[in-house]
Amino acid sequence: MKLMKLTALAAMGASLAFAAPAFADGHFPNATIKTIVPFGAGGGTDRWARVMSSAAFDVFGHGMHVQNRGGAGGTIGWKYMMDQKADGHSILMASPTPVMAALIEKNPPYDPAKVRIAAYYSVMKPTLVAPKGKPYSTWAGLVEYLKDDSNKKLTIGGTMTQLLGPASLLAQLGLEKRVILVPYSGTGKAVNDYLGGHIAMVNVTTSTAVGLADKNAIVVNASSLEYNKKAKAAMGDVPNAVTLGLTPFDPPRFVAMHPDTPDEQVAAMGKKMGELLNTKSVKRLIGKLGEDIVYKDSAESEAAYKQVLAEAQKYLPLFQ
Amino acid sequence: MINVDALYDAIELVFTWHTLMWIAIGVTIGVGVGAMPGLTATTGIALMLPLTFTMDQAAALGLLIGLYKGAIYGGSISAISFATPGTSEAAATVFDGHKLMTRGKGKKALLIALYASVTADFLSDVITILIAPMLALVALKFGPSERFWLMVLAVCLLGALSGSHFAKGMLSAAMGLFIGTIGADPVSSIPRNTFDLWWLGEGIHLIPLVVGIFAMGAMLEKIVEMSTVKQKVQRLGGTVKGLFSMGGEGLSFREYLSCWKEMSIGLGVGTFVGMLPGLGSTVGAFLSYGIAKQASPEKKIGTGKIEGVAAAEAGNNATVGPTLVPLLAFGIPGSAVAALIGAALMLQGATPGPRMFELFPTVIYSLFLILILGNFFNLGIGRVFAFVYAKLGELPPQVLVPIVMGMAVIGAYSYANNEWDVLVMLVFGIIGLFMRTFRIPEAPLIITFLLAPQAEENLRRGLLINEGDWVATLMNSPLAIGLAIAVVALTYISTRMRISERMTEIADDAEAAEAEAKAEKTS
Repeated sequence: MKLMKLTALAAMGASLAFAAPAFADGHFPNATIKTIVPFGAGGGTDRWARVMSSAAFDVFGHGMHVQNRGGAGGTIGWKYMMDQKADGHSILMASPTPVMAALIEKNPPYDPAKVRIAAYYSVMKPTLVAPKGKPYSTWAGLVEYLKDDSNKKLTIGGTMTQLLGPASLLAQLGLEKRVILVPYSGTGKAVNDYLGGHIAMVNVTTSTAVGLADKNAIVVNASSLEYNKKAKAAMGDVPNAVTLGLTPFDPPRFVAMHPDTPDEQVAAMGKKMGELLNTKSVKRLIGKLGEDIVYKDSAESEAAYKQVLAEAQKYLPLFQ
Repeated sequence: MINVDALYDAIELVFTWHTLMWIAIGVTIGVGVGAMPGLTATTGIALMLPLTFTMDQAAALGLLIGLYKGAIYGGSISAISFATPGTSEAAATVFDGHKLMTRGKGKKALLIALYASVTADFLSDVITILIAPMLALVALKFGPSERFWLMVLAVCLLGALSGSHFAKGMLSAAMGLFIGTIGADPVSSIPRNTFDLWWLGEGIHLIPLVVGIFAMGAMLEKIVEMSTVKQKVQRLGGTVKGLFSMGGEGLSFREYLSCWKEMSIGLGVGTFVGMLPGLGSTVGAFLSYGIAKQASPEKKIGTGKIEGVAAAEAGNNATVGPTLVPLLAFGIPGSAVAALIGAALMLQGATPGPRMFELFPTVIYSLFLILILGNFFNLGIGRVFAFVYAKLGELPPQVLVPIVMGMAVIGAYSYANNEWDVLVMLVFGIIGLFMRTFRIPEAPLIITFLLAPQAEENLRRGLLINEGDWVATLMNSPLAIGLAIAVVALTYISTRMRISERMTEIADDAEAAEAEAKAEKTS
């Protein structure tokens, strides 16, 4: 009887050992990571994916196979990720674009709230730029200008994600009706119209703002994050949402996983992503691209993502 | 003011075997990428970008710029050989190029495509180098109102592409207009006309549309022909053997020179379109083709003329250098390719921006030298590809049809690795067959599909900025007013010309009928 029990226990143990997920033996991931970029090759997210994949072997022991699945505002790539096995070996390099596309869509193919976030790898800092010497060239001046109803409304251009930054700050002060948000499909087009004097202000990423800082005023950073040293040197002291005592808008770049992925695998992937972002070559290349690494592990990312989702849902109607 | 030391350093960097080799590799890959339907210059450059992480500055730029130039030309190879535009900017090349191919003059068509591409590309590069900052300032004058009128002007200029049957041209334009509205609303991003299909949320992509209408449509037509007309069986062995022979009607220097007018139009249009953000080489090619057709009706462009190929190819390749103008002058990438080249420059430590000429003169001069040198590599490598493809296009339909259909499916899918694009391409293949059967011209569809959404986007953005005031939106600046007047004048002139052409045709027909009747009487 004892022997039978022992045999049964041994059999159970063996079957559990074979059935256990790969990470149990400390080897996760144990295969190439399918890295889905929900946009065409060449965009900002694609560049991040390709830079990160260049150091993947050193960290994972396996490669990251970057697959571009563009279309429908990033929803096709997100949907593709949802169709993969929840085994931890398929990740989505996401940005707020597919989140907003799903929020706007009447019949979205997925619920952007039902997703696992392994890590944040960056957070954008929506930065408002205005011409120098205008009454609205500083944040205080802008607020004063907008409070005076006799002044003309101000036009602010930028991509929808970027525009949510100043929109949320101004909405907290009850001034959102005093500006006209002009959405553009790309930052380049918005900056072109701004430099040509066709719109009053433009909201851009940090790297673009650094390029404009020489001849323009940097009004506000709508996120909670500080600029890096190089950006600070170029742009000077710029107030951000936290220093202004307002709720920030922190649009993330994040690694998403299938909603059914086990907690351990999500956490392990998040940890590995942290190691990957900490490699010398990735840090150097990302720095050269004018971007900042902002890493958050899975627990922190999931909490921050919920807040971003709530902010986007709240302020998206301003565009409609 | 030229920085002589920096120029000398750039020459030393560029004229090394190492850099020249990477330019050659870039052009070779580019021509191959361009010739493959669905693979664009942007895709090619994006895939090559990681390779440049470890390369030196000049070699990295050589690879990427070479690839860009090669890909823009490469699209014309399959457009001429198989009526399958490898890239969307080569769609306008199909009209005359493929007709020449079916008449056994494929080599001539491919050579004029190559020479027109290289000529316009080279000259637009020189213009870019000489007056880049000035060009950039002109581009800034074009805001939403000005761009709206520019689009309307372009559509008016392209009236010539509606063919001899105006009503059919209008039907084609209306189809393009509707297809262009499918997808996200340009201001609020809310999906519309999507038939409640989520995967249409971003609209129809240009590549599956062009590949479907031109390639799949043409192949379906060939299948119908093959099933109704008894085909003469050709000996495949002999044809394949002939692939590598150097025969076929070439292009004389006199013929090349005879296209000067079309190449000049392409150069002017392409340079202008290239420096404006968001328009791109496809618009450059179609605009140049349409203007050339209107400017020289006696040349009968559209019936298989080298002038048509020259206009389209000069129009798309002339956008290559000027696309980089906003990037170099202001650090603003005006297109996806410019953004990638900007990223490559940043990875090499040179951030594009207004002070780039001052801070990184060696990089700027290296870039300029590579832009110029790339044309010579394109000329040599493009010729090799052209000869092989010219022969491939002469394969019998039994072999050609499945090959092109396979390429169309792969091309539509590989554009974004999206299976829905294959479905879209097949639907447009059927629409293309329908258009060919009823002789409905394809060009107005493509043009309105390309331009109408941009016109709407700019008009709506202008209205948003001006709080719904139509007058302020449409008459925003002297430039906008000037463009509006040009639209009215052009519409009036082209209508008058069309009426007088028609009257002459009627008078000629009547005269001919009278002469025939007289001849009958006397006999």
